[in-house]
Amino acid sequence: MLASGSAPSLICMTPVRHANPAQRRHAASARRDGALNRLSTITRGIVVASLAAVGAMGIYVAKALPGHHATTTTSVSSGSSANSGGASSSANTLNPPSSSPSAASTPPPVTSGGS
Amino acid sequence: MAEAYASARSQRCYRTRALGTIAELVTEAGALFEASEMLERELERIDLAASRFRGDSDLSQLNSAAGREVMVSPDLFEAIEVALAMAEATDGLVDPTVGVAMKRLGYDRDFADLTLGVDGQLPAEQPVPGWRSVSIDADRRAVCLPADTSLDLGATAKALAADRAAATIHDALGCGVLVSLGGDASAAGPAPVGGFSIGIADACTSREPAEAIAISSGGLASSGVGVRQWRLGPHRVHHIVDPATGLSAAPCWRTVSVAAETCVQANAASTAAIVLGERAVAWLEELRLPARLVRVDGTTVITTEGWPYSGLSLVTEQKAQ
Repeated sequence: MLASGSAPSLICMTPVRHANPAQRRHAASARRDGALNRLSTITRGIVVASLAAVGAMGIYVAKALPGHHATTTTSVSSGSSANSGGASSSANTLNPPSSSPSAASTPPPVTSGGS
Repeated sequence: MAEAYASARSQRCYRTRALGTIAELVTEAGALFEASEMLERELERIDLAASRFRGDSDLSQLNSAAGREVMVSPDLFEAIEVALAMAEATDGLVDPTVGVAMKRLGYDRDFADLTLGVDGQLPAEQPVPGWRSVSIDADRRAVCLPADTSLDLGATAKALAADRAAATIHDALGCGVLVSLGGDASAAGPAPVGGFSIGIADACTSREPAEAIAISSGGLASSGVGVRQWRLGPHRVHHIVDPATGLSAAPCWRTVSVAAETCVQANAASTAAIVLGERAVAWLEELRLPARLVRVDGTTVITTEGWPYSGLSLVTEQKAQ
């Protein structure tokens, strides 16, 4: 006669001791599918939360740092100008030259600062 | 009167007067004639679009219509976009809405007509309306200025013309080219060995260079308080207006020269440095812009990192003897 408290242990152990290989494969497959489903759900949640956070941050920054009253930032092409000073992607920043100036080795034909 | 002369072994220089200053072009000898014609067309184009002193310019018509929306030419729209971009880049230190302030200081005519001075008194401090008050719509090329506001694009339009002319000439002819409009210089295409030489003048009343540097790309511009100054009644004033006061910027630097990615950016930085005064050196260093600053009394020259040592000038807070 078994004590009533031992019954759950026996019920739990029984499939392990008596399951055939096919049943074990089926159980393992079920556990794997369940884990993959949980992982997929978590991944989807993270993606949705990230997108929501990026959107909220964008709205916050747009309100905190308003630009001037331009209704659009589309630049205007004009005539044959191909690389005007204001039409580049870095138009509203001040950037150093791609190569620093050097000491001149020839007499200067033009002068800056005297007119 | 335009002139052409040899400036280096393979380079030639073309010089003419335009936009109230001297326009210069340096390029290969074989391309000089065609390049000079393209430069002349570019100068006429920017003058017609952005001159404050021509009654028939697009800018004059826009300024006279302040308070209502106006459709403007592509050239003027581009010049305004650039001016607003530089205002944003300098946090408002270089602001195109200084037109009314310029008039209050007497600069309402071509500078050649100011040399004898104008009658009047120094006006009271009054901040300019500010670049954020200008509304633009790129789709319709529409611009609306607040009432009692006028634009002065002198700080950026000349530099824009230099950038545009250099790029246009290089694109069309394939040669390396340097365009300088009143000392605001832009280089495009392959530079000669050693770069394009540019003299840096300190004295403001003379084009005699204190030193010479060379650039291979981008732009170089100088701003100063000595060249374009005039007498307003008993006061001396100059053309660089502090947007915060509507008056000529307090003189700290006689000349500031800056090298940058484009001539427009170099011009905006050098002008902003004049307005900033003592804080200019730190500001330029933070932006990593090679620069040369000459104190208003001429006793000190300060250079930031990236500016070459020529051996001809004082460097880094070294007092003149």
